[in-house]
Formats: sequence, C-alpha cells, structure tokens
Amino acid sequence: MYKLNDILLSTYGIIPTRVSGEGIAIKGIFDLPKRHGDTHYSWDESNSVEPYVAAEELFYSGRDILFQGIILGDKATVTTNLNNLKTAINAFNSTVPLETPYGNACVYITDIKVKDYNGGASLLIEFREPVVGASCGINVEDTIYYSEEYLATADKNDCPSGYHGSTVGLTATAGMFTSTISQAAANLLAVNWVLENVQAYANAQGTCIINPPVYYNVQKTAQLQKNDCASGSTGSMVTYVVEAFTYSSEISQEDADAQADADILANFDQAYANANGYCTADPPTGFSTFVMIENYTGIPLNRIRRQRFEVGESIRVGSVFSLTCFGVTVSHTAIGADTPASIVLALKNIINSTTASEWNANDQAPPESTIFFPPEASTEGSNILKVIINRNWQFYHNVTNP
Amino acid sequence: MYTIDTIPMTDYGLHIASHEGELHLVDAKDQFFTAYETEGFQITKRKENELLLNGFIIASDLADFKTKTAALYTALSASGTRAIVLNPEALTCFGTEGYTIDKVRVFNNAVYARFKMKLIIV
Repeated sequence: MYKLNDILLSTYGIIPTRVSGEGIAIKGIFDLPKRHGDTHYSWDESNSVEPYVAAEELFYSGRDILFQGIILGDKATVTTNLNNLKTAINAFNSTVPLETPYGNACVYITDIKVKDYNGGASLLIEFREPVVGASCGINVEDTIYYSEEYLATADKNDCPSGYHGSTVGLTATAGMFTSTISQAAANLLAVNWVLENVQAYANAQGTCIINPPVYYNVQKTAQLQKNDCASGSTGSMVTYVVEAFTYSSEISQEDADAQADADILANFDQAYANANGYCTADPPTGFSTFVMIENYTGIPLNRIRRQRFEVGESIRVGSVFSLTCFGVTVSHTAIGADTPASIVLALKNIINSTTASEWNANDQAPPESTIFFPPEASTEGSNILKVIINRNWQFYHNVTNP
Repeated sequence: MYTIDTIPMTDYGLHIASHEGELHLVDAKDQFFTAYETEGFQITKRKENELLLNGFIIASDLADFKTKTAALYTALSASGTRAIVLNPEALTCFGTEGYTIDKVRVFNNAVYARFKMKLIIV
C-alpha cells in the first residue's frame, strides 16, 4: 500500500509496478546516503587520510527515492488523474509522508516522468528525502482568506492658501489582499493599505477649489430679568451673549447673524434668566431723617456746648448722614443692614477717632489746649447721638436721601 | 568470518560476493616542485586506499529484510571508524559515499537484494 500525504496513490489511479532493473516499485529507500561536508583530511607527510568520524562531525545528505507505477485508461482519464496528483502536490508547503510497504519517509516531489502508451501511461515519480529518518505530519492545505472591500476618503491637503482640496476616496477592492491566518487579518491588510495611501492618493487625484468668502456674526445680546424672587426682593437682569465670530456663513452676513439670533431663541428664555440670575433685597421705603433735638450752651464760664441728634426710624439705603464742624465733615452712608442705632454708633466712632489735627484740616479748629476740644460723642438710647464741644463752635447736621 | 565491528556480516543478512582495493598500490599524493629544463618530481606519500564491497542481502521475508537493513544502516552510519574483517584481512575503514541496496526481489519465502558500498581504508 502506497500513500502520499496519507492519500492512497490508487486515488489517482496509480498502480505500483517495478522500477527499471528492480524487483519492487520503489528504489533508494534502503540506501545509506552520502556524507555531507568534510569527511577527512589528507596530510602531505603521511600516507592515507585522517578521517572525520566523530559524532559531531557526521552529517548525512538526503537521498533520492524512485517510485514506478502506471495509470490505466484513456488519455482523458490519465490526464485527469495526473492533474489531480499535481494539484495535490502543488498544495504542499513542506515535506509530506510517503508510506510504502518497505518503509516510510518524509519527502518532497522533484519530478514526475510520464510515458504515454495506448490504454494508459507509466510514470516515474522522483522523491527527495532531505533528512533521513525525519518525521512529518500530514500537510493540510491552508485556508486563504480574501479581504473585503474597504473605502476611505481624504481631502487634498496641499492646496495653496485661499483654496481647499476636494474629497477623494480610495478603495481596496474585495480580494485585493489575502491571509492564511484569518478574515480579520486579511481585512486589516486592506485597511492599512488604504489608510497609508489615501492621503497621497487624494493629493495626487484631488483638485483645489477656491475658498468662498466667509461671514461671521456680530455680537448679539439679549436681557431678561429674573422674575421668580420672593416678595421683598428683586431679580437681577440676566444677559445672554453670543460672541462675535461664533457663527459663520458662506452665504451672507445676514445669515451668520441669523444663526446667532437663532442661538438666542433656542437657548435664552425666562427659565434661563431665572436659573442664572440672583435676587436682591428691596431697600426700605421712605426717607431717612436726621434732626437735632438739642443745642444747649451753658453759662459762658462753662464753655460747654451739648448737641443731640436723632436718627429717624426709617433708613433709606444710600442716605448720607453728615456732621460738619471746623469746616470738616464726617459722614456715614447707610447700607442695607443699617439701623438707626448702627448709624448713631458709626457717627460716634468717627467723631471720637478724628484727631485734633484732622479737625484742623481747614485751619478752622481752635488750639489743641482749648477746653472741650476735640469734641466727644456718645450715644443715648438707640437712635440719639450726643456731642460735647466748646461752646464757641457747633456741629451742623445734614442727611441726603438718594 | 567477515565481520563489521566484530559482528558477523551475515547477522545483517549481508553476504560479500567480492571486494577489491585493499591490496592495490595506492596513488601518490600531489607533487609540488620547481624544475627548469628537466622533468621535475617529488616523492610523496600515498593517498587513501578504497575498499569496494559487493554483495547480497538475504532475508527470510520482507519484515526480516527491513529489520536487517535497518540494523545495517545503524551500524554503518554510526560515528567512528569501522573495523572490517575480510578474513584474513582486518581493515579500519570509514564511509563517505553511503551505500546502495537495489534490485530487491521479494519472494514468498525469501527476499534478496544487491548491496554496494565504497569505504576508505585508514
């Protein structure tokens, strides 16, 4: 029984006969092959040679094996069988096992010599066993995967200023690449090829197109007042801005501006204002009042003057409470949290912290040795400011409501 | 008795029909000399001698034949020189050209084949 790559030679219609001069269909399978490389050295000064026969010096070549057989049948039958055999042989990518009744070998096929006869053909198959005694497996033909079609586009990017490139596509056609590993590997080859070449292809095949004029929007603003504040407070104004150059148009300035307007319409509404605004407490209503309720001077010898000023209950934010003496004015401006007491306290602190030289800023104050100078302030109750000063001078009061 | 490394050749089914070369006067090695207006020469040592073995392998059946040829292959491809005894000559040899076994004839009760080998005598 003869097999090549585990396939009976009879599959191809081959019947073993005898190699010329031999008694069996195979020849060479029992031979010891020649040595490979240097086998000995001939010294001039001695007879014979020095053999190289150590184990590490022994290398053997392969051997030729011949097989003789026939295929019976008409020309078409012979041709078909031979073509099938050749197809199988051409698919081998390594040595394959040859099985014979006389021994096995790992071989590749070097030649097939065919002689046609009437009613059949004889064939002599020449095998080469490159390594005697080697083992080999059955050779299975590799599956070939063909790449699928893949397309990528790129813009021509080497145009001069003022132009832009056209878009060009590069396609790896189906089956352009193959792989014996997997479908994904074949596809990857196609993808890589396209991506590596598409830009150069676009630059070579694309055209340069003059750039159209571009219009940009002007700045657009819109305002809404936050309107969900609690009673007693007022919402702030909220402004929505579309900066200039946010939108562009190749059609017209009006189109670019319209895009900005559309932005406002789409994104700015009362809910936006309510979410982004803040509330401010309403200022108290009415006017601030600041009146003098006493201007007492004692007997001349006492040299004292006592003045009392009352801050009214109603405080208007922004009102300026001022007292002027020696041509110098001290004042306090009411803020939202002020009360009559806090205003009286503030004025007292300002007066008491003002030095003699500061009172004399306009050269109208008396000498520092003057009795009841500088003036002293104190509070009475929650809204009365009392000032003690030399009777020759006095404070003038004022309140300015915004 | 003919032996290979003391093992009778018949154990391998090998029967030597003829052998030659061991008694030849071997060719001289290459001469190197300089001579003018006269024939030059150099007396040199002798080249290696060759031993040609021709014989048969006889086995009782195909299985026996395969066993014997496999053993012979192992013996003659091993490292080292071979001690060949062709009674009465005892020779030390090594092979470089391998051997051939051809003209295999398979019969019901015997297998015959021709054996040829060339060895270098050290």
